Amino acid sequence: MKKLLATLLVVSVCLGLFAACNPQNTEGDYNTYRTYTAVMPSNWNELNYEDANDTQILNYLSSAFFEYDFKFEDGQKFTESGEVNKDAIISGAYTVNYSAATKLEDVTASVDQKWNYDDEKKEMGSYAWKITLRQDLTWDDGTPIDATDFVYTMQQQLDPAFQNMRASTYYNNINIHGARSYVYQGQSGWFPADGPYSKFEESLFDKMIFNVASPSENTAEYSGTECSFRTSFGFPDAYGAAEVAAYLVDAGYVSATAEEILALEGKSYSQIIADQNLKATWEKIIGWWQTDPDEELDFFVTRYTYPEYSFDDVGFYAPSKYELVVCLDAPIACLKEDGSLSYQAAYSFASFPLVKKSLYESCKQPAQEGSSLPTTTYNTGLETSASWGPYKLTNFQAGKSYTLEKNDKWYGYHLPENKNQYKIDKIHCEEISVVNTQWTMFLSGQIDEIGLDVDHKNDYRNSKYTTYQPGTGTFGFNLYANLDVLKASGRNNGVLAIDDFRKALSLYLDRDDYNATCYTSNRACYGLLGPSYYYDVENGGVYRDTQLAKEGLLRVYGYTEGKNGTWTDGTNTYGDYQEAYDAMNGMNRTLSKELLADVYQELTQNAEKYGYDANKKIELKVGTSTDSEGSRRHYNYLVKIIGEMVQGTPFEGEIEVTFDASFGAKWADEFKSGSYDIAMGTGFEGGAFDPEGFLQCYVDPEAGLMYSTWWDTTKEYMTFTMPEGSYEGAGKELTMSVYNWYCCLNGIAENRSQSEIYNWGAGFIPEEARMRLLSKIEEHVLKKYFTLITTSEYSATVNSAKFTNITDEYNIFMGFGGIRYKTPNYNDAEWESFVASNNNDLSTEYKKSE
Amino acid sequence: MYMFKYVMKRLGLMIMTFCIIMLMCFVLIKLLPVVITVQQGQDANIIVQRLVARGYIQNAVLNPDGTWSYDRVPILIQLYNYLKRIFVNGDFGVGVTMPAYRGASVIEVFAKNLPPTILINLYSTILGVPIGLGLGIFAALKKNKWQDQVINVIIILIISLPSVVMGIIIQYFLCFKWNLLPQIMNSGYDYFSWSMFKSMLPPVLALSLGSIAGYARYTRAELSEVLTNEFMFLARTKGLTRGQAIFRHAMRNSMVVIFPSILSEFIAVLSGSLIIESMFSVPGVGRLYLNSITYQDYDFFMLLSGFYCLVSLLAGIVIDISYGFIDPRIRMGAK
Repeated sequence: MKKLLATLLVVSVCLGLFAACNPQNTEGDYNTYRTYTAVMPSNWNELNYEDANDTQILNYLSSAFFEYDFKFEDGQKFTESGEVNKDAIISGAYTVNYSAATKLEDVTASVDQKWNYDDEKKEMGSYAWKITLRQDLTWDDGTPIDATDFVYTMQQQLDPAFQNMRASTYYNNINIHGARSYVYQGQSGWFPADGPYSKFEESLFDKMIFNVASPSENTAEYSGTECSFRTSFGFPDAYGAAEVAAYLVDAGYVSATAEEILALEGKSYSQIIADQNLKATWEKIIGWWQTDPDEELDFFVTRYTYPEYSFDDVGFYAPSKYELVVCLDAPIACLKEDGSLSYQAAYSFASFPLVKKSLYESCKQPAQEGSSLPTTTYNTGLETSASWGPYKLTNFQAGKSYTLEKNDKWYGYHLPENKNQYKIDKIHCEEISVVNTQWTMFLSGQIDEIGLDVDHKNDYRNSKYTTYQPGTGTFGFNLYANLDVLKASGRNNGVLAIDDFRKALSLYLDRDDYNATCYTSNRACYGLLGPSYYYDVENGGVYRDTQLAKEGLLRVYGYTEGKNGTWTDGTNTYGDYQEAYDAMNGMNRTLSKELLADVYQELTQNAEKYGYDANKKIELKVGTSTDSEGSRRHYNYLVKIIGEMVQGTPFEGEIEVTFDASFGAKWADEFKSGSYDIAMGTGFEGGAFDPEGFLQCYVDPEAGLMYSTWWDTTKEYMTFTMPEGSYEGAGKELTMSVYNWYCCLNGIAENRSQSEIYNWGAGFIPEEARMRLLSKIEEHVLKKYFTLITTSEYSATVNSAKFTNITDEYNIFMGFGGIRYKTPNYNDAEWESFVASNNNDLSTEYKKSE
Repeated sequence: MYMFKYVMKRLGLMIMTFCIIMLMCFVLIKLLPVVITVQQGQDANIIVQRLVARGYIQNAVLNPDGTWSYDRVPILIQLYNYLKRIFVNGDFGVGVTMPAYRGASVIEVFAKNLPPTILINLYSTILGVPIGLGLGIFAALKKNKWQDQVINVIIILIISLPSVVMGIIIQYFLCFKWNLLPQIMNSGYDYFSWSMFKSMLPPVLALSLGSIAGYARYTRAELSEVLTNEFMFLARTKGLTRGQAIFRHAMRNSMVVIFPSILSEFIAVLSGSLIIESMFSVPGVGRLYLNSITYQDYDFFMLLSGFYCLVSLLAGIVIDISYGFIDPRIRMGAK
């Protein structure tokens, strides 16, 4: 009996196991593209998605008014048999074509006066655009789409009640008239009085508070607001109200005592003029200062509430059923001189958000108890999704998988230019977060692409199935350099505030070795902008390849220009800039050590200034969010480099590099506050066609992205002579703040109320002139050495043998062609057989280099 | 009656303990600083206004160094709003910060993610208990013979291997090299289909092998000890066969220790195995709890904390009561 029971148990377990084992299901002649994601998207609502991960579904559910395509020799996109003529693709070139729109017109000169376009703007054009839509646009259930749907959606996008994440796109990136005012209506905050008000009038007297205190002093009461007088005078934060008052008296500007001036602090203008003593002091101050009307405002701060704003005053409306007009505050040149679409049309105007009105309304959720923020479930699940793009969502399981299938109601399938494209019937994506699982799935033919990682790079880096894709991300180290904070840190690290110390570290870094040690496929980089940025998109001008950009980097890395165009790094002399650039690797270790000797002298001779204690070691604290193998790798490299750098210099044995991984998700804020000294792997990704806009990460305090927040770019001045040409400001030598230069370069100087206003945005002055200014600003930023750029992002992907890309050459506009141009080599059933014939293991195949 | 009073008393204490723990959880998670992260293309003001509107922070101020400072909305007010939301509206909230569940109903996500975790652990228990007990009994009966030695070596080998290594071995050989089982769990909610069962087998095996070894070791140790007791000789001298003596007397006595360990192991694995779930793409609750803390997703954290707290407290009571059923000599609450 026992034997029988035991035998039955064993047999049943074995049967269970083996019965469970059979091949995967097949879906016949379907072409399914199977991919994976480490984190499932959860919110592909165009109005409110939070990060790039959410766009992996969104991109397939929406369409574009204007889109990029490959450029084909002689315009011959198709062969005689009707297939796409891949042999005729012109390397690196592109075209911009109409897709969901049929016409684009510049209507700046003819739109209503209420949009405030003066004659100059009307003449310049590119402020107001009319887009004519196709009349066959529909949702995936056949519901027609017209211009009023876009207007409804924009109103929802900007709805102040929802505070939608993507609202800022329409007042920061594309400056639609009134968009910001509509979103901000009802919000309150403290401002310099001349911010919201331009006229000094009686209605304001109670609202204006005299205040010459520093932002730090004002943090609690006035949200850190600084009056315009301080800004104009350029007082640093260390100059509080008392110091400012003393300065005005000591310099003889104001014939009052410092105490009398300070007595005005915190008083409204009404209170000041009601008191004889205060009024007398005030008159002395304003009497000295005022040269123009309304300059009284310069000494006051005020609490301002954004007024109500009607959507009728937002520059986005539908004059007819299929026409959409967009009125901008900053112009965008979407048409070329010959009337054809410029790259900007497909870049900035590719599409505006669109939601399905009835579904969106039904998905709105009221604010929860204790909250005033209503939410929406639109595009967060299968039932709440709608598509007007080439694919539609047919399956979604949160945290697990999603499936997209062809949307047979999509207008694009009937367009002749899309013939024999979109051959993939279905896209299936699984959440697979473990790298080993991703690889076993890929090697057994169950997913069709995989990112190359450190563990597999030696096996597959030369595979014929591996493609390399440059990204726009550039990364490196950020060094904290706010002396006041460094001195108070207790780490004896004031040396970081000395520019040459930071420069010495930059010059000692071996960027090639660093990237080979710490990354999989990333490569060395020396500039803020990597090799994927185009300064002249129309003509394929890569910024990093230009002479000016190269010369700028040479100067940053210790090269000097000699006579007859020669360049030298102090040791070698090169015949021209190109020769020097080819030899440049960002290192100049001799100069680095020389700089350190000078730095040591500066530090010890001014020990009090830098808070330096010669009896203590200098501690440089490296901070990060988590203690991981990766962060340790970067840290160890830095320890090694700094150790080698100080050898044989007075700093030898004096510097200790420590590691602190306790900062968690607040690591960026903690760095900005000076809690640690070196941030690793910090950087940004930008738009490949907008290198000028990318500068916001380094010089635009309003963007909130700068790591070096102590660097006031509104007071850092730069002189530059704009190249000759027929545009405003051409040939002039100008001096303005770095921030002002940036605003002019991006055509937002007027919008940002800058003192010097020029519109040098894309399409308005020659791209060559913009590039020259760009390289000047980049060099200026790099020479601060707050950011040591080391790395340019490159990603490597191993592609399945199931599909073939239309081209092996990466095109910045089209990638490798994407889903649209992928050609299946096997359908699902054939692929099943192919994998089986390889014993379910394609590793041998994928290791083949030819 | 003693038992009834005892159970009621334990339930009362359990509710009190539950409330204290939940209060602590709420306060502690809310004490963590709210992170204000602004990415490219985002407006910091909108990020902050959303946090203000959600009732998390107030008086947000942009500092000169570019960081934001703020006052936390008093935690007791937040607690009041939270409790009112649950008890008046039955609303457990929506995901806010966890990337895979932003905007999703917390209770719905929980309800959808719990079945895979329960099933995988249930299957692993169903597979593990009979095999583990069987091996343990066999080893105890063959104590110090070669069969016992072989089983002991296997047990030590398996116990020494973490389930993650077991998972890798199973995935590499059974799923990849030999193509016997799917590499990841199927999508969908048809948990009782044959196809879904197959796809659950790899994680079930990865989890159950460790359990099997554990049960076998426990059983062998307990049973070996019981078998040497004098009452076993008495049972045999009464005329019982060896099998009868073992199953009626030895097994029941050794179960006093073994049964609670089965129950507690099941409860423990109910929380899901983070690594096993990730490895086999099981959409379970294992990752949810950890991520809810990492991302400070308050509503997820509170619901999951409440669930695990309740399960643990209930399990304690059930285990205690189970002693009385297994061994009639144990009377809970009797003086």
